[in-house]
Amino acid sequence: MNPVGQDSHLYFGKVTNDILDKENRMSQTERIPSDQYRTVVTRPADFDAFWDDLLAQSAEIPLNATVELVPLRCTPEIEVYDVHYDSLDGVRISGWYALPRERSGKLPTIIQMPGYLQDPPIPRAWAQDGYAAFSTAPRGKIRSNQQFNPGYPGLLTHNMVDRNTYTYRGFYIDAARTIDFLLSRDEIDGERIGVTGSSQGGGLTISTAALRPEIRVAAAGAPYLCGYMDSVELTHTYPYQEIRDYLRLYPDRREAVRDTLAYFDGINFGPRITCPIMVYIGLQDNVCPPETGYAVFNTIASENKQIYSYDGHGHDAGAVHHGAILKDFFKNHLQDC
Amino acid sequence: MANTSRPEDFDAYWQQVCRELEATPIAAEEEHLPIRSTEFCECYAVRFTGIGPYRLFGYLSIPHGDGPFPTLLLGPAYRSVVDPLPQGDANEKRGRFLVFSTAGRGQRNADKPYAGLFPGMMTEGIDSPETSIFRGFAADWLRAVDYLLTRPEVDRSRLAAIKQEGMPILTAALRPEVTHVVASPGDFYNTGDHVPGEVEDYLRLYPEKEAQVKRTLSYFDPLFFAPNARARTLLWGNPEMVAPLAEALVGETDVQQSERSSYKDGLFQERWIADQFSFEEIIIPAHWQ
Repeated sequence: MNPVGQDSHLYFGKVTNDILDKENRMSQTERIPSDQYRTVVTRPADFDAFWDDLLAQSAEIPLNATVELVPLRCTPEIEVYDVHYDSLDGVRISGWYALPRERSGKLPTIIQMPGYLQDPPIPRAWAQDGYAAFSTAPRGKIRSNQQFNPGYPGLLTHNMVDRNTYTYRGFYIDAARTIDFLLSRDEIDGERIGVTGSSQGGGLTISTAALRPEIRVAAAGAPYLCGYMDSVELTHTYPYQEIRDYLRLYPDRREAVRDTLAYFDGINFGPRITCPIMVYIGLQDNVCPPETGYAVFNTIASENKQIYSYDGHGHDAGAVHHGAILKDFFKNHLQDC
Repeated sequence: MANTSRPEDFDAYWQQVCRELEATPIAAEEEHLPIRSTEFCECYAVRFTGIGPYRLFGYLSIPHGDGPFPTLLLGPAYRSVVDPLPQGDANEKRGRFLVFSTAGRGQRNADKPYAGLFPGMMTEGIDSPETSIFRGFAADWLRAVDYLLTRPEVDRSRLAAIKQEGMPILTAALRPEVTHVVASPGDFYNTGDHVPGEVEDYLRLYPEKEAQVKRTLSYFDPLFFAPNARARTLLWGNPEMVAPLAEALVGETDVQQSERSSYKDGLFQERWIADQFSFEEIIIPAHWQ
C-alpha cells in the first residue's frame, strides 16, 4: 500500500501487439505517475444549480414505499426485506434491506451501492455486524428495470448528449433517494448513515455523499464515473469502452458528450463532499484508471479524507487488504461514536 | 476430498440433453453491430436456439483479416449481464481472437420468456434435475459451441471455453471440439459438503428437500465430467481443494491459486492463453503494461 502522495509505481507502456491502430497508441506512450495526472474534466458553472434543482424535484415525490419480508432470504440472525420506492420520472426503484434480528435502540446504517455489471447483493454481511443495511438497485438494474431498461452495454451511453435525460440523472437520484427511505424508518438512527461500494458503487458513493448531507461517512473503492473523458483515453476496456464505441461512430458528438458528462462526473461532485471519506484504488486498475481515483480524491472538500493505493492490484482495489480497514472505518464513525 | 455421489443415470441424463440439442435447429441470425465494431474487428449480435426451444443471444467479434482465428468462447455466467468482452480485458484482443460472448436463458438479451433473478435463478426448478434451470443453462454452453462450429472463421485447433466456474469443464466433456479450458470448480463442485448461498437459503426454508436438491446439484458437478474432459486446462482454485477435480481431468491441467489480485490473476491467465495458442506477446490493458 502506498500512502498519499507516494505513488511509486511508474507506468511504462510498450508495444505488445501489432494490431493497435493510431487511435490506440495512447497506451504505448510513457505514463506519468497516477497521482500527478491532471484531469481534463471541467466543472460547469451551473453544476450545483442543476443538482439542487433535481434534489428539490425529488423531494416533492412521495416515496410510496413498500416493505415486504422475504422469508427465503432471512437467517436466524438477519431479517431481509424487499423494498420498493418511487423516484424521479415516476420510476419504481428496488432494494434489499437487511436488519439484525437482535437490536436495541436505533441502528447505524450502511448503504451498499452496486457495481455497473453487478446484480445488487443482499447486504447480510453488514447486518451481521450490527448495522441496518440497504442495497440499492437504481433504474436499469434487474428488479428496477420495468420502466427504464437501456441494457448493458448501453446504460452508460443512453442519451449521453442530453443532461436532462441522460441515464445517470435519474440513476444518481435513485441512489440518493435511499436516504429518504431510511429516514422514514423508526429503527434507523438518521444521524449515523454511511455509504460504500466499489467501482460503480464507488462512483455512487461519491455522488450520494455529495448530494445528501445526511451521509456521515463514506468509503469509495475503485470509483467509476469519475473522469469519464479521462478514462476513455486512459483505457480501452469495457465499460468505458462503451463511450469510445459511441464516439467512434459519432465523432461529431464529442463536444455534446463531454458537456453532458461534466454534470455527472464524480470529480465535479468532490467539492460538495464534507463528511469523513476514504478512497481506495488499485494502481493497476484496468477498468477505472487510478489516475481518476486520485483526481476525484483531490477535489473532495472533506477535512477528514484518506486515499489508499494498492500496488499490485487492479480493479479489486486491494480488497483483500482493505476489508478490515473498511470495517474499522465504519465502526469508528458509526458504532463507536 | 470430494463428497458427492455420481447419479446412476448421469450419462443417460446428459445423453438426453445432447439428443435434444441435435433435434433442435440452431437457426442462427446475425445482425451487424456497427457500434461494437472497430478498426480491427466486426461485431454481430447473434440469436440462436437452444433446447426448449429457447432463443439465446451472443456477441460475436470476428477479427479483420484472413482466418481462421483462435477462438474464445465466453459462455453464460451466473449473473444478469453479458458484455462483448469481459470488463477490463483489452479491447484490442478482439483483433486477434474470434470472441463469442453468450447469454444463457434468463440473462439479459435472452430473458424472454424467462427473466432470471439474481439472486433467485440458482434455485429455479431445483427440486428435480429435469426441471432445474441449469439443465437448459448448461445446454446453452453446448449450443454456443455448436454455433461456433458452423463458422469457417473459427480455428478448430484453438477453441477455448473460458469462465471462472465449472461450466467450461462440462462443455469440454460433452463437446470434445473444445481444445482449451479456463475454469474454476464453480458453485456445483462437491455440493455434498457445501452448497451455494442461495441453495443454503432454500434449504433453510425447505429442509425436507435437502436430499433431492443435492441430487439435482450432483448432475452438474464438474468432477463427474472431468473423466471425459480432454482439453488442455487451466484450473483456478486452492490446490488442495481442487485436487480431486484436477486428478480426474483427462487433459493436461495446470492448477493456479488466485493471488486475490485481479491484476496478477488476469495477467497470469492472459499469459497462459497466449502460450497455449503460440503467441509470444500478450494483449493486455494499458495499466498492466
